Amino acid sequence: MNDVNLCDVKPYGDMLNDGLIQVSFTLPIEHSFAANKAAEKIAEKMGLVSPEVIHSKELTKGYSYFIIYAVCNHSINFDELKDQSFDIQYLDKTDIEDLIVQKIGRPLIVVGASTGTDTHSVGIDAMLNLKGFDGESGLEAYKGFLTYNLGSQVPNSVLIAKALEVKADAIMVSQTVTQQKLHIHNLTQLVDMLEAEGARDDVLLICGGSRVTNELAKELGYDAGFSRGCYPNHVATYIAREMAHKTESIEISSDMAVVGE
Amino acid sequence: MLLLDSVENIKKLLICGLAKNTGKTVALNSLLEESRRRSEVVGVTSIGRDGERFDVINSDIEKPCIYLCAGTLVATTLGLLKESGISHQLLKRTAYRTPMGVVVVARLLADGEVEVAGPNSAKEICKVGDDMLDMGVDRVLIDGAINRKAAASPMIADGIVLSTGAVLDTDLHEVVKETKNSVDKILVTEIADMRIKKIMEETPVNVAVKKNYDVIALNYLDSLMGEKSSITELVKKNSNIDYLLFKGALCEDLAKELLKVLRNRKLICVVRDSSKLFLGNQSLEWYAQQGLIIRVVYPTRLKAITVNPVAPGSHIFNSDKLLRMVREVISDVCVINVCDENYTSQISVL
Repeated sequence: MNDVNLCDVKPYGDMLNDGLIQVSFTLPIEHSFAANKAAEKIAEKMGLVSPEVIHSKELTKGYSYFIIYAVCNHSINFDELKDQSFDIQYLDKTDIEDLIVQKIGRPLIVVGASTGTDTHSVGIDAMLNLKGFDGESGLEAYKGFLTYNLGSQVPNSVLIAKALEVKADAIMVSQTVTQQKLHIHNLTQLVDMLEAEGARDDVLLICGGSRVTNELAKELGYDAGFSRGCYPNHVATYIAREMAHKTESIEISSDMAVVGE
Repeated sequence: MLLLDSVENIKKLLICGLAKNTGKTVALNSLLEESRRRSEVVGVTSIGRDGERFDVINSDIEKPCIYLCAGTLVATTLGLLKESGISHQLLKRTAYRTPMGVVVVARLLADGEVEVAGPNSAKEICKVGDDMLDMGVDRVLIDGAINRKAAASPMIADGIVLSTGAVLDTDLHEVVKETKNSVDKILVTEIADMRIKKIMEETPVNVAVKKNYDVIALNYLDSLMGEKSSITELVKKNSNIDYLLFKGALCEDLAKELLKVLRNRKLICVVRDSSKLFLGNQSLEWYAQQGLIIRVVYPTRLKAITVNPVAPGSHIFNSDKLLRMVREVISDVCVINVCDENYTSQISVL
């Protein structure tokens, strides 16, 4: 097997470093040979080399769909990206349960909801509910978590009230609707409201959604963001690890206080 | 007047924007340049993250980096400091962990561009700012993140500079209106009644205060329950309640429920400062007209407003017209376009 140069990673088609990719898109034009040419021109403007329409079809009158093969000569330095620690080693359910028992010694309390006007609870349900997602159980199935799923269209203030009432360790917010950047306003309001209540430092704040990235989460003042491809054990690993770290820090501070006496 | 002159007595200054791409970072860079020309040493940090190369929300928009000169103190993550490639002297490794790593305070030994990602919470920002002042800087500049108003609390920053701009709306009048609305919600009137101030400072919980200054403690968390809150029923049944004092947030849901029971009577809601208000798009005047008066214990010092006439990828307003219209509706605050030729020529002669 050829060695991949991780400093110069290109798309793979038939062989290493051939840069072959497939792209597909729709153009709002009548299907024709000229339309195929137009699609290839668009692909060239994207920086793709030798684009070739290998399939095209009329979607409906005035709209055509194209599948194109082309060569992408761009590459990225994957080694550099790995160093920025995008990925963490996710634990499975058993290891997460063990971590919580050994390092924390009590169930972690998590409150979650889809907030504002967002009616989509599929994401938060997948993370929190017993059934979980794609064979992975939600946090409700863990002995190490005590979860409260408030559902959808929950006002930020109500979510915070519940979190404060049950002394939550983590708050999970799901935002699926992103039209007019509604999710940005809603997510930042939650952070500010927690600050206003003097509770920001007491809780891990996590957001999720198909358009929510970890980068965006950091920008908005959250501790972490989870997006497509995320499973309940990913979120559980994050919460358990962070709380374990917090617990250890508190223990070290307490020990130092005793020594100081 | 220069932006730096408007913030003369401010030790910890927050620069915040009403939205992304209102020119907040450009305003920050202008302050940095003015400080450099006047040989003032500054400390820089951010609540969250800024100075990143491309807009996280719209990656087509290239964002200005924060350019710092040698001698500046910066509180950012160790990883970002190393990535900047600027030689530095590490002064303190804080206990504040962010999603991007641990926050450190360093003195830059050379000029350069830095991505600044400071602590995530307002309390931590306050502490880092105090640390940098103790280390001898003349002023701390806190770069605010979008829509984040927690750091605007007078408990955190002594004063703020607000950035507004064309990005708010395609209609110039709407931009001015929205700016005025936002400024009104920042410059909330201070409560004059010293007895109310004293009660606010001495009681640890939310309370209702009667005409005779008798105090009724409110149920914990009820202020956050909106239409399910028992506060509304209490106010309805007790016409002699004149004040509600909130230690935390005053939310739109509760405010609107209170309006329903006021009926020709006035009720004064007091919060610690304007960062605790979450009243939606309605103006304070709208609430006041229906009997709900909002007051603060600690007023916010808005020192200047910067305007950006450019909405990236969309439209551009005439700068002079935008400046004039904002100054017409907001008269007590310095309003500046830091990219204006007249302004930049003032800096060049410093």
